[in-house]
Amino acid sequence: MDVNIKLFLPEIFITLFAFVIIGIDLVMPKGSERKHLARLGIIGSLAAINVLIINSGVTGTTLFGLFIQDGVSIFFKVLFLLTGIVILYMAMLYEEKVKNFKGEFYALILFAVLAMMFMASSNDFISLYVSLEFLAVTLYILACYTKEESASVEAGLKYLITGALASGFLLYGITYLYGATGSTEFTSISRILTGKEMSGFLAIGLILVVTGLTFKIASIPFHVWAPDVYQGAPTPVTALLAAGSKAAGFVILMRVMFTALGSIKPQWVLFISVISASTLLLGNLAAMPQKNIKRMLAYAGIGSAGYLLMGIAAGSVLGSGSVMFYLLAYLFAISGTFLAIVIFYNSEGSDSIDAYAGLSRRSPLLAATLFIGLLSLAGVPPLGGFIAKLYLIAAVVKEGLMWLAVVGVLMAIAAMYYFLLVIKRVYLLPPKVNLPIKIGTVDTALLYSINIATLILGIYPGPFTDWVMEIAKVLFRGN
Amino acid sequence: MLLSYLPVIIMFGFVLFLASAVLFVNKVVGPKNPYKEKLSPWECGMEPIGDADTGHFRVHFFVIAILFIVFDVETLFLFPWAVVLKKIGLFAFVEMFIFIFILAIGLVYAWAKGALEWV
Repeated sequence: MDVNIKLFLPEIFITLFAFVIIGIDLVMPKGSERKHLARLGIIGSLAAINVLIINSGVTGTTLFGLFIQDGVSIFFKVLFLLTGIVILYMAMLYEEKVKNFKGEFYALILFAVLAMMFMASSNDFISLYVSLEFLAVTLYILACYTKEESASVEAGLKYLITGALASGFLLYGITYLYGATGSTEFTSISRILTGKEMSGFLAIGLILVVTGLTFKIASIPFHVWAPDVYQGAPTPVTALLAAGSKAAGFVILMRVMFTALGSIKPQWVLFISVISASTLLLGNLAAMPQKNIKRMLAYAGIGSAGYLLMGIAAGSVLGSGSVMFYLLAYLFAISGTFLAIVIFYNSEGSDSIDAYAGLSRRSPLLAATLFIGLLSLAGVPPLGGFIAKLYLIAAVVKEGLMWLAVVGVLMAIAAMYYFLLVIKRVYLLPPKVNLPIKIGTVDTALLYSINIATLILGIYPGPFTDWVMEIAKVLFRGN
Repeated sequence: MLLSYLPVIIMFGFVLFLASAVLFVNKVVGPKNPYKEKLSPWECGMEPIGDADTGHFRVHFFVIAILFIVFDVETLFLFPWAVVLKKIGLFAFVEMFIFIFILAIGLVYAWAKGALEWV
């Protein structure tokens, strides 16, 4: 048997913790507080990060090539576990807002993280599809968790229907790729395709697979679900969709495009570039008139998917390294922003952008977090998001895609507009009520550390960029 | 090239003829004796209560169906496992018990949360 348990030890850890949470939830009295379950989940995630770092030298494939552990998968697993910790903490703050809250909410978040970890490690179209569906099922449940609110139920239903359609595209595409190459394993597909011309089957397969994957990253043509689902889902779940699910979609896209289909790169560059440019235009322009902050962040997230696709279109070590750096900066910017949104919602009960008027006078820390988080998303120096966008644009310029770089730069300016609209309300407009917003000690510590992380990524990015560029080389081992 | 599809076309014509012929003969010579019980929908041997086309039925059916599917799929995995058990050894043996254990946790959870109670 080809089984090396050491390679998927962190996954076993998370599985165990998720089941323990479910078990404890059963014996707890009905209606009691369940915050300890979230703390248990956070401990489990920290333990898994520890195991990952201790075993970071252990790499290779196992389970007959279905599962791979390499630098890229370790990087993304740490990223997902960090996301999971922040989301669990947010969910803890959100607990009182949900009627009939059950401990399974925390277990489902852990299961979602587990699914993303398997996605980061998939080395075969079969394991890719299974882990992708695993993530999708957990997110369907999470998106419609507040069953009393019709917006949340609508979000779950819309996510389910578009998700099922996208899955169909993906599966159909996989069958064509299998038909054209005779294999589902990424490295052997790459070996078979080396030196081959594009055939009809291959082209259909490639287009369908990429189309199916655009659902996960929320880019054109499967972006329509994002605004409604982001707005309707419970805010911790929205943050999970924004930071986790998008990153998981990109790790899969990188493995498919670079490791499996890297040898026919000249044939797909234009296709990806067109998707990237149209996503950039749509996301950033549609974000401008939004009144709800979660909905605006959904469109901004579509715009971010456009930027990240620039890195895929570049198809180089520089491109994939900058995708990884962007996702790292994105994680901190998004988790800070959403944490501020959850704290604000708990105090005010509103997500509308107008409600944020005069926040700087009511809570300087929340205002500063939004300031740093949103400006990092917009790409303002000296924050992490600026370096990330700079690297992505440099990557496409180096590959000669000047027009795509121009679209990227123009849309970065457009993004400034709608992010500054929020910041204008936060800092310049007078507040309606002048009561300060209470923030707990742990919240304060978490907000400070997230903001500092965003600043460090922007001021001293050298070690991080060197690190991701080194890791990214692994993806191109096939060609 | 196209000529090699000739048997398919002949078969298609034959099927079309046979199917319509059977339906036609059935319509003409079949005995017809409709009565109330025969026309009513079959609902687990019970007298049907009310119309089905109002669109109101218990969501609970759905929960039961999902629980059933889970164990249906489990059986699907158990059969090939049992056939090749000697070849794949102790690891797969233990592995399958872990799998069944995880499913059992799911059933216990659903049970304890009251998913099986028919109130």
